[in-house]
Amino acid sequence: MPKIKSNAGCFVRNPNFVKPESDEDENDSDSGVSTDVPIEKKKPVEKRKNKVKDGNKAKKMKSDKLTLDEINEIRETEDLYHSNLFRMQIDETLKEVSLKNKEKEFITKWIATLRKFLNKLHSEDLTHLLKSKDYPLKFKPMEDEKKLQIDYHPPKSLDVYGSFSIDTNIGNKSIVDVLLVMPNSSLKHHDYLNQTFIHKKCLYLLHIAMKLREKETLGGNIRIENFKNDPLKPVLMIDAEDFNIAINAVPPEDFFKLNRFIPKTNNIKLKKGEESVVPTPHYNFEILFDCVIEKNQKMIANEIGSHENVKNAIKLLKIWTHQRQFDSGFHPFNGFIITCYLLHLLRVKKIYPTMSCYQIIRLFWNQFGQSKFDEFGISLCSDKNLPNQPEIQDFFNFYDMVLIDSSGYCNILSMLSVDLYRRVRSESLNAIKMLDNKSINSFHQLFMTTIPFYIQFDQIVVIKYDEKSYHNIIERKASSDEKIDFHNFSFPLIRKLVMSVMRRGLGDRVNFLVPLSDERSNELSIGMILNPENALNIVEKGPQANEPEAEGFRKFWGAKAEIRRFKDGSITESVLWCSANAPFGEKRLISHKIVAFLLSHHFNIISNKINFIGDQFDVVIKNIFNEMIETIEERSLIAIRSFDEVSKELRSLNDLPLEIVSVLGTDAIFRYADVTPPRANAYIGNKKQKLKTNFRAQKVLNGIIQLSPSGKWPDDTDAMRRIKAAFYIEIEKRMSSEFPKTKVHISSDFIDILKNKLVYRLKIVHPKEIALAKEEISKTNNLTKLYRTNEESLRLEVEGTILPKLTSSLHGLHHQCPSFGPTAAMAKRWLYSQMIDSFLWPDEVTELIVAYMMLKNIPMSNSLQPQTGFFRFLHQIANFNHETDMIVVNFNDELQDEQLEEIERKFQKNRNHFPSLFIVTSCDFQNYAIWTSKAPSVNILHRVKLLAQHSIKLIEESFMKLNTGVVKDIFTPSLVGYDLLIDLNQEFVKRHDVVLHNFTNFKAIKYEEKGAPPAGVNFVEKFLNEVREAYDDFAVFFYNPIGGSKIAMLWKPSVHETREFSASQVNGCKLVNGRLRVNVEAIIKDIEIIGQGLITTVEILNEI
Amino acid sequence: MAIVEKLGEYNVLPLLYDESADESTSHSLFLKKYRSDKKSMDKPVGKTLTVLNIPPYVTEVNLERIFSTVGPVEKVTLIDSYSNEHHLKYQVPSEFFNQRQPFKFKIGFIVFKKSDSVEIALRLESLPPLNNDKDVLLTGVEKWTEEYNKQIVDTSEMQTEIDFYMKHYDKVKNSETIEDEGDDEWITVGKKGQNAGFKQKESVISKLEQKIQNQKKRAKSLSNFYTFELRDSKKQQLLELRKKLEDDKLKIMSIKQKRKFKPY
Repeated sequence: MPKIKSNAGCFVRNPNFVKPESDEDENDSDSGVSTDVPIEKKKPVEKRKNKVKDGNKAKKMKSDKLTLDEINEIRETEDLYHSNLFRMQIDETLKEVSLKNKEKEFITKWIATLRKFLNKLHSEDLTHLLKSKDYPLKFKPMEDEKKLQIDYHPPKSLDVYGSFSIDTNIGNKSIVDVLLVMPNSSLKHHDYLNQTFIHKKCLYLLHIAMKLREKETLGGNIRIENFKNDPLKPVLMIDAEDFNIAINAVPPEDFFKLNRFIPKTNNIKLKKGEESVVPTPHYNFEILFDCVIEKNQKMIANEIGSHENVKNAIKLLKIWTHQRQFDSGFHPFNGFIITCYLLHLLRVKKIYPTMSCYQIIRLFWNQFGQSKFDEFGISLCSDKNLPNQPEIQDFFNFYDMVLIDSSGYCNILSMLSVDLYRRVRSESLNAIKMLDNKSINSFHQLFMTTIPFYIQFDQIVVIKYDEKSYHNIIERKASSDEKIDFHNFSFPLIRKLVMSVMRRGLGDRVNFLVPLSDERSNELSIGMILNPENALNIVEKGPQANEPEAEGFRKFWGAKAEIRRFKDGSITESVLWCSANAPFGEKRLISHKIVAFLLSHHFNIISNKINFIGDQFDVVIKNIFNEMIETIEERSLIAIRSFDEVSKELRSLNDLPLEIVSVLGTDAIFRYADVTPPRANAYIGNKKQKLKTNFRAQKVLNGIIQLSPSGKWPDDTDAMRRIKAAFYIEIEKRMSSEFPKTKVHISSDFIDILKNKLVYRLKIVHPKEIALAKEEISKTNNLTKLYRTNEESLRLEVEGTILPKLTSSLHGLHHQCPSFGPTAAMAKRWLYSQMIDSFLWPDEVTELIVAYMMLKNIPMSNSLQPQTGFFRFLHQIANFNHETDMIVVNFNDELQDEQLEEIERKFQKNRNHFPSLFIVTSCDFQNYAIWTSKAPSVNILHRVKLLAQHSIKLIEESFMKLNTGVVKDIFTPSLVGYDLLIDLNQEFVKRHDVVLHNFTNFKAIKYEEKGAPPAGVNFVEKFLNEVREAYDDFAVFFYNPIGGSKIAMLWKPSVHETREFSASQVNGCKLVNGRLRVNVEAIIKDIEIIGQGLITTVEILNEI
Repeated sequence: MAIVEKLGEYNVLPLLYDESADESTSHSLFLKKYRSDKKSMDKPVGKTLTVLNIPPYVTEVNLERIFSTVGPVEKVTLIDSYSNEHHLKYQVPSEFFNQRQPFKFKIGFIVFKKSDSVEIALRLESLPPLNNDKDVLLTGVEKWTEEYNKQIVDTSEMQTEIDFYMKHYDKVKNSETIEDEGDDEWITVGKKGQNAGFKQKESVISKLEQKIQNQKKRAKSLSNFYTFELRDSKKQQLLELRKKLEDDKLKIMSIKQKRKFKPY
């Protein structure tokens, strides 16, 4: 705290910083800048004193003398923390999440009241509550009523425990754990057997709940819930003000003998009187955990309670796990595990209490990333000679992972899924990587960004709950021992069985297979993160047919297993999933096929009981011809390959005056990011029609030609243009003689080439053009020629050098991360469908944002499934703070750190000089901000952000049952709120053979059989260009370039104003009482005039 | 007939699209006498009429027809803003290489043959409509079709035109260079012609200046020679550190103001 205060002075010295938005700040500027005015308005007297001190400090700073404190603080930060910024962000966040004193007092008082209340309750027999309809446990008691008999007596003790008691609680709507120690008189010493304790505990809590409901003063919504989603762990939940208070009832310490619970003992006896030897390790854990809570609590409080930095680190780590949702669901990775592990690290002296919390979290991640709970196990118990104490190895016989608590009997990781553990482990390593990456604000990514499930996993399998099929699984697959161990609650067993089959079946196709939270039901959902290297393998290769393992393979894969001979000569058992030349879209879904097969083969779960989430949104980048799977990659690939042929032919032309050095593509298709890559269906047209045609093609693909350098180019743009045209003529001649199969047609400014039924439109670019465009005579001496970047020169530079470089970089990126192209295409399609076309939001901006996320692994390592990539894009847009952050797309780290720092500094200093969305790339050639200088505007940015937030909400709501309806909702624009709707003549609306054609109905509209339009003709685009050029000051036009049949228009606010007459402001205006007002009526008429023949109707929605 | 609105020296007249068009949906043209201190052959003062707020689709030809009702028109020039005026350069008329006109509201200069025409024009109460039976204003699909068709060129015709142009261009260029090269020893850099003036990039100039500066400095100073200098430089380093700290604090404050520290 004092650190922040001591800087009040520095704010004063930077009056620019004061934002006039809030009234507090206005006060600041009113009262003058010379005196010391702290930012906060409400301040207690105590702070005022500080103010005076600060004032002195400010003066000291001015006199350039550094106080010792300051020097120390600066040095300390450099040494102990990542950076100043990081440290301050940590401080701010901790301040935000930590509980206020007022809140702590409230809880203490609340507990005291409850204690009093419970002590006053009369003793009575509670057994009758078993038959009450409120009784929350759904399973039948194993014992008769006599054994379940319980009397109410006031609890032995009642107190807060867990995070609240050691002050590591986070968040405002936080759960306060309260530990109620049941009185000895209510329990019997054999209650640990056959779930008796669970029922008794439940009865006890239910009784309290009913009594509290009568009273109603302690809080509302009193209910019994399952702790960690485990029905064997009922807790009493009470909402009191901002807190959820969870009361857990436990037996008194040492009431049950702990050695009754060592893993191999049996505590569930199905047959009366018989001494069973079947171990029940999981049941034992459920009871044991309650018995040792107090003990563990004491240990944690003793060893961590006084170490402020360790507690802060725990808070940060809890935020980190919470943001990744590791702490939700059935027995999740929670704060208790973090705390125990940190305690272990303290003990083995990997961390010290004197370390800064930054150092502690860093070491935690480092150590946890290398931990091997599933192989070695750790014990927090210092006593080695307890009666019957099991060895670590004994635990491994029954549990996947081992972390033994202070009592020496309880393995706190008993129920944690090993898959979740592995996932957390890998994310820890990721976190370290992110800390080391200078060019992103890692703090924001690590702690401030929520990473929900739908952006974590490539694919998710949801197995719907169905009692019969769940029962079936148990019957078919579970061993009789397991059935006893998981008696009355088989969900964890099913999860274990399904996971193990899936793990084996998917093998190295997946990096992670994680069971997800399932708050609502017993629905089992499993998230998959695919391994990009193996996930697309079409064959599952098994053991050689004559080896003994072959039998197991055949059994596992059933009828799918076949004996195949491979190219390397081996003959093995194998499973083939799809043909080798299947499209990428299909290959990405092999994992789906495998899962569906395994679930039905092993568990008899039929496909309509399975929801598979992963390819729902692929529909927007599919085409309507190849019904099922073909996504844009295949077509892009065809276009790129044939472009390479064209390029080769052009470069081989010999007798040109200047050699053709390179032919480069600039179209989105060369970056695999074209939403509607053309079909190869172009042909030679007819010149005699009204609209003369050389070629007919769905789309022309743009590229550039670079010639070998020469000093002989003229110094005049007009002459240059003519020389280039002469070149086109020359190229046409040579091509038609040397490669007669490739058809060439030229125009004055480009050359069209028809190859493999695709049309490429190429232009010659020359650096001299750019130089000529920059030329400008100096105004100072009228002699020196200056070279200044201007709009025209930038346009040429983008076309000639920047875009080709970006295209090849992104092309490379796609080969690294094969989901780049389809993801970017999906994102673009989404923007289009919201009527935001490339004029309002340039296509390249979308691509660059996707590239940024992929290069930086934001929010986590790249997904293979474009749908997940698309969700991440939406998430990024929805949460991106464009005011303070910039996007750096640094291919191959071409931009140096110093350069980036420099840009960043400028950006922070003069935010207003930069576009609303600032993107720096290593392809800019120092023309920073080139991509977003014109668009998107602030308004469009906000709109897109809003749309993204809304889409995210829709996805979130229906995530586990995503279907085409959701896709349609997200890809359908709202036409509400516009001022004008312009209906277009369908004849001129460009046809695209993609599904979801115009979003009015979901059926695909077939491409007209008439054939392709003349190459490069698009009247709607012409119209939009004209109206946008003419009326940009007055209105914004919205259009979906993929089959949109309407253009929407919105007036800019300026049209409502009148202004003083001036000759420069007269455009588009009329006189109203001697003042100028925008002539709205005439502009609407103009739109009709400009769009003659194209527009059918203009509908005015809002009269001005 | 509408009342002619006046505003200062401007006459405001509606420009109807065609006979049937309504005045309320028409743009207003602002007419005034052309004034300038400079004498110009292009726009002789007294014979020239300035017209403001010409809709984007109106061409020189349209305006010439409209104003020829007042008196014979010598020439019509359209620019999209005053600041772009000096960029206009003479274009060789061409079948294939026409510069694209910006599609914006424009300022027009109508040069009449007779000087009294300007006065008459300013007394007009209405203008003839843009479209009449004889000439049709080309917009929309018709216009774009024509534009598209123009792209499809006859190669040999284009080649001839290019050859002709380049011949002329080379001739002009050659004559300049011959003029300049008075002596074999050097090339005079003149103020006229294609290669007028020095070509120096701004960046080059600033680099040169920097270099001179640096040379001066280097000759004089010896850094960190005295202990006090050493101390000062250390202090300077710390100050920079502190400055960075302060910058960071500002950043934090700005993030904080947006309430970005609530993780959920």
